[in-house]
Amino acid sequence: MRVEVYFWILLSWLLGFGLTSLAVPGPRRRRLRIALAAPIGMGLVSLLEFLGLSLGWGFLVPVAELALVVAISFRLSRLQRTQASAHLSPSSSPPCPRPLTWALILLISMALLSFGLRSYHAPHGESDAMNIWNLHARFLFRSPEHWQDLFAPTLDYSHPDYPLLLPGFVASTWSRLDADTPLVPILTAFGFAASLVALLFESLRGRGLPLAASLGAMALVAGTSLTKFSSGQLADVPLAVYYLASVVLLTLGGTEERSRKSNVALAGFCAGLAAWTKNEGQLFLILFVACSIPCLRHSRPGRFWPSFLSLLAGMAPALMALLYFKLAMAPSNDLFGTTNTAVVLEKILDAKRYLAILIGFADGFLRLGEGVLILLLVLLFFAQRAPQPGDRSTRHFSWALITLTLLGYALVYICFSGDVAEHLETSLSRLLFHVWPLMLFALLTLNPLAHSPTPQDT
Amino acid sequence: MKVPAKLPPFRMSWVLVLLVLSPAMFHRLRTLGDEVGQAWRSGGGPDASQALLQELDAIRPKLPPRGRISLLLQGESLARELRPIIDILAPAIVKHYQDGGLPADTAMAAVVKAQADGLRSRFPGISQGHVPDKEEIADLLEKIGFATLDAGTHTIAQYALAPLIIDPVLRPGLILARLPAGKARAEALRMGLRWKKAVGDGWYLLEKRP
Repeated sequence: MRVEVYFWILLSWLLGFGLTSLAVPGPRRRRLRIALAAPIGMGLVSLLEFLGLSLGWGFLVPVAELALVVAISFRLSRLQRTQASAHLSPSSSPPCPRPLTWALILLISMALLSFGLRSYHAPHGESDAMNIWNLHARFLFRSPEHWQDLFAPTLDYSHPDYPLLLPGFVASTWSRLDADTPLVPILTAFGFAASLVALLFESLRGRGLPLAASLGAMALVAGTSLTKFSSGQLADVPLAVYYLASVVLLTLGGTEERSRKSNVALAGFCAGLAAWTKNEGQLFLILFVACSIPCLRHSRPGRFWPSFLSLLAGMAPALMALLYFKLAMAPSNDLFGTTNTAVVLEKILDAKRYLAILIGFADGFLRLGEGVLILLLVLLFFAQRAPQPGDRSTRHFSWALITLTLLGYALVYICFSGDVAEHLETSLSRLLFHVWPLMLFALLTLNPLAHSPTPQDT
Repeated sequence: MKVPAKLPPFRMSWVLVLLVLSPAMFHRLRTLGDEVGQAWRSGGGPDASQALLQELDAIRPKLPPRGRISLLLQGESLARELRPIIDILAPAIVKHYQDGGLPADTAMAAVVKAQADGLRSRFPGISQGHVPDKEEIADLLEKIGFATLDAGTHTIAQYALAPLIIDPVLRPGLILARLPAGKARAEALRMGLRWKKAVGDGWYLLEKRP
């Protein structure tokens, strides 16, 4: 059984690696593809599972998964032959300083130990995992014909309107095994957490910023939120991965038009998966599309429409699944569905709510990464560098997206929270974690520690 | 802010990076120490909620594949788990009936209100201006059953027994009950419930007729 668990999970990651390899080709980006393999593979399998459940063809999902792996492998082997004939060689990025590499390995080991201890102590995750994500997965797996029983009013507390990325993937793997072992959600959570660290590291290292890459990964791993949320099997870590992946892929440079379009399409796919993970991801998706318009116009003048259409095409599969789920199946959201305009207006006019939210956010930022954010800002203030080509659009895009997402979160608190203080206390740390890796990426890409070695340095 | 093309040289070194991260690294080390200590103290075993989960997980295959079911914990488990809650809850409900006051704790207030509403609708005598005393409320709560008293137990049972839907209050239909060993049938009869079958160690499937 245990071998089978690893087999099916690794197969989904392989599927993700294959899909990413098609979209982000080239020997220079192999590590980035590895970092993206798990989230993209698990997201894709979740969409297949939902399709299978909706059509009543659940038994075809593993066949479709295997067929996709074979088809992508075949396509990749043909592409590799083309690349081999073009004599492309991997370019070497500057190495990370050795003491930092050791410090990073030490921190990762500590995080792994913490993840293992927490998972052993609570194999079904935190209460949110049991009340929402794993509960929904159990309905999908144990009663595939009647899984919509989870919309029963008695289960209102489990937020039945939340989308099904995590439950879909977990239930899909359980179905292959014919057993609902907690090892599956544990490994799923581990896959997302490991991908988040690897993606942040590789997205910076791939831009020739080894010091920034080490600093970013260490800041992420040193904070306790990552292990707490991932071992708790919460959807906030997957959401953070998809936020970061969307931005990294959209701002990825490239020389070939085909490759640039496929990068953008994969960015759209990741943004769609963010919306398929959690309701907050739906806000992100809208903002991502809005912010990508000026970004694409600036970075790809004259090629805006093909790029923009690629982005929309990339997000289409997850978006269609989401719309079908939300419009045809799920009940209304507890925050939005039980309120009316008069109540919202009253809340908007209440100045105390603004003050509480402002204080809450300020406190949250101070605590972010156990205080790393503030120290990092001080450090980076002194370590400005001259802007590199492509920085401007990346900078504007990243910061606009982060700011608007946080403003959107604040607006939900203002307009819809019942007891703001309680709502902030129970949710804000998780919401800030969604954008924390993205903030590290944006800070460290633009302000770095990016001192590329010059001839004098060497 | 406009960044000038030429900046004064500022070489970032790994020493500085480690300095910036040192508070977070220290915090991480301390948290890990706490986690190891906690695992050591608990002997690595599951906590109470996980133990209930394992217990319910084991009996799930003997229950119907789907549908609604109510949960009833009485007898020994009442003595062990319910009584302290009733002792807290009953005076709060009395207070609620007397002056409309609710406990300061939001979750507790919600439970008190739900129970008080439940009592009012089920026991018409209460709604006619009668303020029940603590013992009377405890007795009534026992009659209603346990489920809504403890939201944590309800959600764990729901998770363990999914896709069965666990009713938060006792309704006519199937009831999963934990009853005192040896006295289960008598206890079920006393409560006016129909015996179905034993489904696990101390766990029984009963039925409440409309």
